[in-house]
Amino acid sequence: MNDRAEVIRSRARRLAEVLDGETRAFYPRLRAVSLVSRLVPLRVANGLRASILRQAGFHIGEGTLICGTPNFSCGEKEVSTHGRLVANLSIGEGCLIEVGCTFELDARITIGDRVTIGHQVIILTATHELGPRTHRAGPIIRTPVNIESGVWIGARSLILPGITLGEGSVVAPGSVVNKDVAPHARVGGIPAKQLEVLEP
Amino acid sequence: MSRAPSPSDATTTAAAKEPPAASRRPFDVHGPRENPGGIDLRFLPIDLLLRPLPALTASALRCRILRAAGLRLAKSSIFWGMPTFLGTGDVAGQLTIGEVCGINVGCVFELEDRITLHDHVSVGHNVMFLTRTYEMGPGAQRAGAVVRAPIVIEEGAWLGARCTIMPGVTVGAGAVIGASVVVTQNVPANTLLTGSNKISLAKWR
Repeated sequence: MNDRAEVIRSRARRLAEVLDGETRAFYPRLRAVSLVSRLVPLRVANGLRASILRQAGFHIGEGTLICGTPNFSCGEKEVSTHGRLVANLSIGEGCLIEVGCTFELDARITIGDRVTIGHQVIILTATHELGPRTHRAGPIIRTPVNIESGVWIGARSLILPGITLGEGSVVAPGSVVNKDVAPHARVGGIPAKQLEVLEP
Repeated sequence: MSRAPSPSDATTTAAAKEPPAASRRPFDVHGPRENPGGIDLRFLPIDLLLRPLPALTASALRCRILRAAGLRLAKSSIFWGMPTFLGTGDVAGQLTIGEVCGINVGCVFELEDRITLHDHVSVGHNVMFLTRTYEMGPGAQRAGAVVRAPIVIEEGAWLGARCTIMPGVTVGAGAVIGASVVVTQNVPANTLLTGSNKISLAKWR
């Protein structure tokens, strides 16, 4: 009898573990808000879309236009409450975010004022330590991304974890940014290299 | 980006177009941002209808409906998946596609200006045609005034998967663009473009 109770308990524990793993990154409130915001056709009512996303709890400044609902992802266990997830994204005033962007919210993404983000830009916050040859992608590291005011990120650029884009910098389309960008620099290429320094 | 004028030019044009102080908000550095988009009431229901159709399925039907919606798509050309059309006003009227073109799954056409695909053009997966960019502005907001420019893809060109065609670009006849290339400048005819390398295909018949 005792054995049977033990088996049931262990199965229940296993089930709870599985359910936790399977649903941790679900965030019902964010899903619901994203779904509503996806009902608005692309490039239509961009201010309204920003207001809808504000209902999820994201900080989005006044006058920011979001042309298509971005994809939000987060698999971080410590961020498993909605409040902590939405605290990880803050967008300033007068920004413009184009269609099809992806924000990984495992760590904080701070976007300043008057930032312009092109189509299908991906901003990542989680990566791995280099592991042994049997499993190269080792433990996960999470580092915040900071995009300062006035920045212009071209379409299809990829911003890797831990990057700071300095004030007034420009990222050419299709670049992969793996190093911090100095203020007022224009960078481009894979990996992104400084092309010129712009007048402030 | 290559066509962006010097920042000082942008500052003077922004100052000339400065709105009255009352409508100016603290975050508007050079006037309110131009809000992209609008709604094309004729095209929207067709977009909503065709979006759930699985890719590579009922492509002839998809193209027939798109032609009925006013898209200038030649009879022998085909969209293998429903592309994303973005734009303002008469979206369908801005795109012209010639004979025997094939457009693969997941493409994005930003129809703020004209996009013309001549005959026998092949377009790979997730190719993006962009017709809207900005002038380089001052440091407070680098993306300045909106610039729109048309795209032309000439006869027989082949665009590889995930390449991005920037505004104002003309891809010459018989040119081949490698996968994942961002095309910012005009491509001469019969050229293979892979990143920064240009290889002539003139001898390749």
